[in-house]
Amino acid sequence: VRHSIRILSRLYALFLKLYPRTYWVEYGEELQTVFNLAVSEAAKRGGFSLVWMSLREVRALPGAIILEHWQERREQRMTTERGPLFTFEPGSWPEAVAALAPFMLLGVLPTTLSLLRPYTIATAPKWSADAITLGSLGLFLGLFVIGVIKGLPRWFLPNTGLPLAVFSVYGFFELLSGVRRALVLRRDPWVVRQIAYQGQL
Amino acid sequence: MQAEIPSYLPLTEPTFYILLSLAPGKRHGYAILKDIESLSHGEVSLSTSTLYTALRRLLSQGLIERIPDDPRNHAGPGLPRKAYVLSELGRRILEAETSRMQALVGAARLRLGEEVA
Repeated sequence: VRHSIRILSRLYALFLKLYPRTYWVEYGEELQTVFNLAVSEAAKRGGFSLVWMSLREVRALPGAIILEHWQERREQRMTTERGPLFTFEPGSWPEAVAALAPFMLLGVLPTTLSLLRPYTIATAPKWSADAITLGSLGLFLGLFVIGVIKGLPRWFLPNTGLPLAVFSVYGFFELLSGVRRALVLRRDPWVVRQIAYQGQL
Repeated sequence: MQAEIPSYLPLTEPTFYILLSLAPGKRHGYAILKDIESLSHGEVSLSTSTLYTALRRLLSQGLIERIPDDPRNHAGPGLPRKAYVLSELGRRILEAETSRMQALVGAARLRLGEEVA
């Protein structure tokens, strides 16, 4: 039994290393001590109690470790490291560039590339178009995710505005098509048909 | 602060038991585990990691405090050197939760008593 206790204790010490470092430094020794005491007491009650207690600990550990890592990352995001990278002064150039990024990536870049196509088609490799498209979309999605994580700052608004604009074009098209089918394709008065068909009286 | 108390309620069962365990005075982690088992008549048996995840959350919420344990209180070797104690806010929340549950039980007893009658 003493051998089992020692093995379990060492295994638990290894598992504790999976916690975030700061948590492990702060609570590691305490967790280990409490675990050792719990194992010793379970062992006194018998083998079944020891197995049941070990299973309970093993079942709870992964969730607790994941939760602490998530908590740690959340605290880091709120305080340090990646904070200044996407925290711009309102009205600064970096903020303006971040705000314009979706238009540059989804609007200006494809248009420019299509204009240059006749001149580059002979020299550029075939996969370059796919790579540029995927890269642009990746950057756009990256900005979108960072914006959501950072609590929707001001520079992030175009990232929501642009997709909304694109979707609304299709949405309104469908909506107007529905209206047209409902109103115009009937035998409506001449004035209504003129407005719907030609936009004029 | 009083206005904030309802936002903590209802407490989860482990949280309630942890706060209840600390109501009489400070305890270290293992003593909390044992006390919860005793209070719940063996119904609630927390793992070490679950207990410390809850303790850390309660610490960050200011419901409990972590203090160095007095070495003279150690009943044996290898006991944790830190102890936990209920804060003033934690005590008020525990009392509020107890009142809330009392009201629930009272209403249930009343209604079930009516049905029996």
